[in-house]
Amino acid sequence: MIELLDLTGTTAHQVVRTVLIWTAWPTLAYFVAINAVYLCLVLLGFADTRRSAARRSVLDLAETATSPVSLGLTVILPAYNESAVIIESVRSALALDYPDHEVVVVNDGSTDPTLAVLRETFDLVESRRVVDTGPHLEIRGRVRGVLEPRDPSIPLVVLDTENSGRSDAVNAGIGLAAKDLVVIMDSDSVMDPDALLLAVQPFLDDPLRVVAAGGNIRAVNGSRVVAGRVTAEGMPRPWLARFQVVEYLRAFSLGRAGWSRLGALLLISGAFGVYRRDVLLAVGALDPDTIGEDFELTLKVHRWCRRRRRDYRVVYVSEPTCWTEVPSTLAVLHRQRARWHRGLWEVLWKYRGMLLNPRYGRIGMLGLPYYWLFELLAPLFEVLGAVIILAALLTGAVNATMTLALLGVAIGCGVLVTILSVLLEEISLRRASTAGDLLLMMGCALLENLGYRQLTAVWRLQGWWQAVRGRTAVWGEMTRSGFDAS
Amino acid sequence: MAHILVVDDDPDIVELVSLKLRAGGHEVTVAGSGEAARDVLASRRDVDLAVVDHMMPGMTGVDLVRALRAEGSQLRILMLTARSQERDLENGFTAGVDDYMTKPFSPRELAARVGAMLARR
Amino acid sequence: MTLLTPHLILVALAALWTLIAATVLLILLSHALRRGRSRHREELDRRARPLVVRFALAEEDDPALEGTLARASGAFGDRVDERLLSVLETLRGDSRERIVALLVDRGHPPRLRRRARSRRTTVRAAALRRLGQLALPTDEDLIRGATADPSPVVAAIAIRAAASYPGRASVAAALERLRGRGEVPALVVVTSLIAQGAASADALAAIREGLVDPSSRVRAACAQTLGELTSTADAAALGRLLRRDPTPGVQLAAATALERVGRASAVPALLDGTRSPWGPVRTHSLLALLALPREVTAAALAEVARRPDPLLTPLLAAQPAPPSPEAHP
Repeated sequence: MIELLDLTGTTAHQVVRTVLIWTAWPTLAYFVAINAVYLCLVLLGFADTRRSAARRSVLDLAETATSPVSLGLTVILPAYNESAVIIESVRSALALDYPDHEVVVVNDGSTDPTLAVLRETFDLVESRRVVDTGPHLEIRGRVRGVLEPRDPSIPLVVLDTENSGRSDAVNAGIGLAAKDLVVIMDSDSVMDPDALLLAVQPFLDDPLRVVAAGGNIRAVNGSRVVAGRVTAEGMPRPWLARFQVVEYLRAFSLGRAGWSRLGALLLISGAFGVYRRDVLLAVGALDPDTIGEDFELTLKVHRWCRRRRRDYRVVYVSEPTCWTEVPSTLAVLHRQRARWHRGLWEVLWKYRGMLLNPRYGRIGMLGLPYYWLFELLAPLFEVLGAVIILAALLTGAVNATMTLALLGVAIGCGVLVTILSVLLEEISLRRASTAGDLLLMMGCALLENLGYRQLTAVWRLQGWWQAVRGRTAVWGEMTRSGFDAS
Repeated sequence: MAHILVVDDDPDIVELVSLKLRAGGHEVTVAGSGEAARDVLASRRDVDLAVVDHMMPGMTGVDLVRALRAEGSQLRILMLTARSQERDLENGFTAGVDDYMTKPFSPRELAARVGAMLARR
Repeated sequence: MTLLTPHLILVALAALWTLIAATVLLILLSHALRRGRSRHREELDRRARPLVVRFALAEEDDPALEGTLARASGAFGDRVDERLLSVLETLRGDSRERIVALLVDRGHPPRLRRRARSRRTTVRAAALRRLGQLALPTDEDLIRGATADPSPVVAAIAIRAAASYPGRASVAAALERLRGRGEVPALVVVTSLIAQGAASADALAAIREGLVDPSSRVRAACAQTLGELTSTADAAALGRLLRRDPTPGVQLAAATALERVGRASAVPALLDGTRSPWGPVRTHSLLALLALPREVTAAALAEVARRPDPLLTPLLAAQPAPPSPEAHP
């Protein structure tokens, strides 16, 4: 029995005690459960990464580049008011190491000279190409023109449309694309030189079954970038960014790999996803009204394939890496996390028909329950847990030692899983992190429980609350989802 | 005779090429990456020719050539590549590579090409 | 609730944090070990490399140098072997024979053959890779046998190595791995087949026979290979495959192959292909049509253009405008 301090037996006190005890156990059980599930995913992810690293060591990339069956790839670059960086991004995309690719830049009704800069630099002339998205996909922004360079050897097409938001712009680009595969890139992401060649491997092996593939995403903060390439990896200096590096490691590298191994990968990040164009057109590509558009797309693809009973695969490839900038200020991080959770709720609710529906196999029976229980509800329990601990300590209703012991167990589970992720990632991908960076990462695993996790949990709840209250997305001049002030 | 910069992350190739070129009487400086190469070029003005490997992690050979040409460098560049597809060669020549050699290569042929490139101007 | 005694909680707490501490130590330890090992290896490499390179580039015989290298043993000897093999991979010409001779001298092939039977996958894989590079005639059976290795990594390496011994048997061995569960990447098999088909008429015949194999993966791989070997003689067979094969993956392979080796006779099959329910089959059938001379495909292309297919429209529009009749001089 829990030892109780010798307290005055007021009714309020009894009530508080009962409430605490009744809420504490489920909360603790939740923490143990979520970490047990994480552990399974991490271990599965490790197995998957090991296997794919072994295959990778066998496949000579030079071989892939000269492969007889290379599938063409279209890189779609949505652009809104990017006149300062657009040329660099386009050059970077044109220079990507891939044997057969084209770049489609979609000017989403920029009010700055983005289009003029492009026109000038690449000597653009009218193109005969048209946007045709087929019966399942509608474009909202009116197409104002399609341009291409006078020099036909540059595989570039520029699509000019009225402002209608990133998703709609991307959809228009998909309607214009001419290659088998599509990858959507943002101008602030940096790709490893061989990232696309590696990401496309699953399609080469199984061109008709594989419908989508996602790659690894890492934080670029702290790494050195020269001429659009990461030349030196490193941990960032601000602690906020450091925590995120560890978070990404846990969620991406091993979490996604684990789900991929289970055949239930529910989310391919918009930052690094390769899709088959025919499937995108059939499912209606990105939904402009959803905030979690990448999550929505992946679920849509799953639903479409399962309804057609087609044997299909949605995979995660662990080696190819896309580097993206993570928020380095609290304000931007706040917005990002609130938005993510809002998107999560909207999409989960939209596809609630798939939940626990055996028709959708592992997606419905494993993946979605996980997302509902351990992604959607997680911040609720985290906040609840913090409240309970505080209440217990303040009111002295429960033995302080026991309270702290329980706290230690709950936190310990999380720390163990995170540190295990760091270890397994080191082993499986043979990263050459310095001992200092490793210590830092492990330090983060510990320190993130001293406020970072609680903070992000609160922000996520805020986002959820906003969504439930039905606050719609801001229309009008849509700015790109990103880390700029909006 | 000439000052040559060898850029490759594979130390075996660096050693092979350096030794062969030194035996031909040239001065050879080595760099293990595109970035290191740029540092060398920034500090030494007397480099006559660079032998650059295509596939390097981080900044690839073509990235390096592109960056150098964008800065206005007239450096003669010979690229070593394992890939001989037309598209790759095209990309390289467009970026500003002067000549290519595919791997596996003959050291004698390499020395001959380097000599020819140096003599051409 | 009575189950969760304070004792249990404290035990759990202690166990958990001990585990954490142990994991942290494990991480740091494995890191230090790896660093130490690689530093030692680099040190030995620094000694071995100049010697090996000098040997490889030497214009005349240098018995002293050759002797030093031949006698190198232990960890240093291992690095000498590694460097010799690495240089072997990079060079062409007379240096190659000299290096192979030295490796044989160092007792390499017998050692490798022993290692190729090791129980550990990594050892087998490394040994086979090296044997493949040496490509000695006596190792043909060993390498071909290794294509049946239970480990897909080892099998893939063996398949690649088997390309040095082109012929019917090697083709059969490579294709065998595509049957069953197929964990070997098709790309590796196709690359090996291409090299073999280019070098041996016998191998090419075997690949052609593979077009009617019961296994769909085999048919697809053979179709891809023939497309790469540019023999329009196979256009008819590929067209048949595109039209009649029950497996869409094979149809796709045939369509992709026809992009390179298509002939006028394949146009009806390709037109059929543009109506396939599978997106990639449609696009590649159209690409194959577009690769043929315009006079031959004009009617077919007109028919494709009549059908509203968002997947195919961009391909048609991306083509250069046909020359206008008045432009003739």
